[in-house]
Amino acid sequence: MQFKDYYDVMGVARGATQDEIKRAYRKLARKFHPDVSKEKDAEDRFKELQEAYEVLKDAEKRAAYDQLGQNWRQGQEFRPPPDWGKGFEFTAGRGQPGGAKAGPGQQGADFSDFFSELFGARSPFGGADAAGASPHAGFQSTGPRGGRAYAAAGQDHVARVEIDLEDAFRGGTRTIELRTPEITADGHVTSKPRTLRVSIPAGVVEGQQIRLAGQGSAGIGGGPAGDLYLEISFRAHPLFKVDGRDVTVQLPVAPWEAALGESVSVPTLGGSVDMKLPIGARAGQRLRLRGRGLPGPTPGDQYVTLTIALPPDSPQSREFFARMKQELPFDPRAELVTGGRASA
Amino acid sequence: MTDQRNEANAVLQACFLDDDDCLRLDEICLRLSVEQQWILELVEVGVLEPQGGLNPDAWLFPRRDLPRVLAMARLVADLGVNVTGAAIIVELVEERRRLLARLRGGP
Repeated sequence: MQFKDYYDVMGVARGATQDEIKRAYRKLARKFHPDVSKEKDAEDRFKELQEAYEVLKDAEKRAAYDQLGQNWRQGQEFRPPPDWGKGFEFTAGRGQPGGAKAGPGQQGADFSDFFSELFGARSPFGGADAAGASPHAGFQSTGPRGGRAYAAAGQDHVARVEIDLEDAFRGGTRTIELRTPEITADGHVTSKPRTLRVSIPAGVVEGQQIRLAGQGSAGIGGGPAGDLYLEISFRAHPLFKVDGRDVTVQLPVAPWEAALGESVSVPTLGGSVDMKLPIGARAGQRLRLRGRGLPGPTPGDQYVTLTIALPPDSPQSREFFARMKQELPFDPRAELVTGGRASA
Repeated sequence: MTDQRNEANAVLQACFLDDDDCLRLDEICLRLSVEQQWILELVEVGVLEPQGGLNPDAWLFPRRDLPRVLAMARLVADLGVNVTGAAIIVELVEERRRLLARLRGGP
């Protein structure tokens, strides 16, 4: 197993006071809480933080952890010493085997192997507040789960997934990876990677939640499994921008296509379509293709924002534009209100 | 269910959350592993607005509220905020996400 440097995780010195540790926990908890954080790896960081705090906030666990020595580095291959936990006087209530307490979905149920081995339910530190405990003490709050009235049904979970816009349009099968806490046969709790192949229904929009029945935590004692909710976000698309069900694309057109109102080919999520420009179309003009956005009870529209592209510079094009200048006198700035000419 | 969970290659069908897909009070507590008292508190401060009048046994909660309640339960437990604070956080986070999506999706 790999060594965990809990001081490093919490960003405190080895000699930090219990108050400093509590403060560091509160600060980092705000930053990495998965329901608030903008960080990509918030969920993992928060679990790591909870695990570190679980050990460092407790004087006995911290003392035992400190005895491992200062020379270990985060991630280094580690085996617990054979005399681990000896010589510590455990407070009353500790030291009873209490493996059954650590249920899936509970706080701390998916701490690292390092934690399970040294401080988990089957360690000398196991028992009353082992792996199932949560680091609430720092806040003295009465949590919604305070009473631990343990249910037989599995818990529901929420995960975020990023999908391609094309999958939202057509529906599609997406493989997602999750980490789920599981209790092994010998009572250890491990975090197990789980791969799911999910059929995404056509017409999902950004921020929408979809449900996978029975894919939350496993039930206990034959109880039904919880559900898994997937919160959808879209990967940035090179062509299309999305707002709700509406899709916008920037479309470059040649000056003569805009001037003459020609038919041009426009990419949409469902494939290219022909669109007739209005005669004298302007750059920045927004045209609408009704119902070509994301599908749904009321399908979205596709908006086409025009940009005018000039042909690449060449002697011919210069000669042509010079002739245009001669034959089509035109001041595009005539309508701009000016307050006289600024002195240079 | 257990078989389905273990089948690595099966394609799982995701479904939309319909407006009329509702859960009773005891069901929502079971699913979230929270105590009834806590859900009653959410109703009292107006974070949840179940249909079904005054009798909690008749209450129906739209299933689409469930992920928000789960997030609030975690915020209360992990960060020590109270119910109203958790509700504000969840609303602000949702609004931020909507605005960010719009920023990326704007014309």
